[in-house]
Amino acid sequence: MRSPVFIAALLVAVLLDSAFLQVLTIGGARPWLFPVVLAFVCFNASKLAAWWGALGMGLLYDLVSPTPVPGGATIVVVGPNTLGCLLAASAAIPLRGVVFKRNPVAVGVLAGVLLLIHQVGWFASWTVRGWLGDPVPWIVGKVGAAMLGSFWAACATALLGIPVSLLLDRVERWWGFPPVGSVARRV
Amino acid sequence: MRIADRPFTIAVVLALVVSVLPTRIMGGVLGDVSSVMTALLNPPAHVLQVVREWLRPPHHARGPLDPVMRELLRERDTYRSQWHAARQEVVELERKLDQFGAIRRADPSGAWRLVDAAVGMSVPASSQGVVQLMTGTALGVAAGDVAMVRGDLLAGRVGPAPGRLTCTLVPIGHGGLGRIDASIVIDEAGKGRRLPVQLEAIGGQRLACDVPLDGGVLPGMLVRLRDSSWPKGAQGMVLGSVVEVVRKDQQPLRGRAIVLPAIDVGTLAEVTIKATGQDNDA
Repeated sequence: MRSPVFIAALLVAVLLDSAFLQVLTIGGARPWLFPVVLAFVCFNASKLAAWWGALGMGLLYDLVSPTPVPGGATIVVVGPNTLGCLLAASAAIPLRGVVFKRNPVAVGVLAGVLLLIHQVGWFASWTVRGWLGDPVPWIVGKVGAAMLGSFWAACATALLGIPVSLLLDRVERWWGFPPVGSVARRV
Repeated sequence: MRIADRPFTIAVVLALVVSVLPTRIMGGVLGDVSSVMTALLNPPAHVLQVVREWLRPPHHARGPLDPVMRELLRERDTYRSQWHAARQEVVELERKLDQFGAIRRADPSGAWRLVDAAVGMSVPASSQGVVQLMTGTALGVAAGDVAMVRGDLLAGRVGPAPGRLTCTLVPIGHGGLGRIDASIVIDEAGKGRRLPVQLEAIGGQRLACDVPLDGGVLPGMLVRLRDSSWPKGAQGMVLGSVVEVVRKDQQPLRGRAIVLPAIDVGTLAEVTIKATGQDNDA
């Protein structure tokens, strides 16, 4: 995988996720682009490149996601998105042999599932930090509502994933992925 | 699932360790890194925000663009400014009440009346601080009446021949007031030991007096009026404070105390005059 292309795609994803995709919100369902990119990378890149991609994506999303805490300040925590992305990658990479990656619906649905898995890691990481005394970014006692919101977001992401995966397929050759069946892809 | 790449494993372990470190340890560094990232991403993000708002404007049913809301905001601002003005007036009136109370406590004889006087322009060609006051004999102000600020800080005396509606204020430190008998309060907090002195203006709106070098006079000590040629009600008021004590060249055992007036008349907008004359309006 060509790193500059991945970094460019990552920056586009983080920009669209942070500043634009709210335009597609329906009700409380807000789509996210990064699970689609993550699914695309995990299904096409070599395993190691996919792992590094997931780690980089999680770190970047953590660094651009300051969390408000009581008192009006914000804190930056590395961990929730990183752990979430690694968890999602660990689910996606074994599936690449069984998913028909040219099928945009399959990629879209899997992107939604990856977002749900990412959210599990995200909630887990914040819960651990909560045990250590840090504030958590949801209303205490209302974590169910936050998780339900994640489910609707996953549905919206799956819908968004369909056209985006089509678009990514068009530009697949730019990414320099190893060919299917090659040794490089299995490493 | 086995990941053979050692750098990746180290990176993941590092990320996991950082993820559980308390904010007080890593928060500052991460905040700085985040700020740099955000600074790089903010410009394109702002463009996207603008496009997003153009595509899907936020609901402004009662937002700043709504005419009703705009009118409400205007009214809010109007009443807020009025409230601030009223509050300022209350503070000013409270200050005056405090001042009048302090003056009455200091001289309960009642043979005077207090007159507020706005400070007007400085008298032309006078570089020594004489100012015009916007009050005069119509309110009982007479030549030689004292003007004060904040209860017991002497600002000066009303100059000769006050007009009906205006008069001049000769400030403390002006040569026109002549020599002033006063006392330096050596021990303000204790028994109130005082050292009688005679002040004279030395220019620059300062006063000076001779003091014994071993008299205990130090910078910061208050100087109070003790001059029988001044109105009785002004006795004991603060003229200023000692700012410097220097040895006299000709008399090595004596020193020269420099006194700075308590009030710089040039900075005042209003003074209170203890008027002793008749109220001509009556």
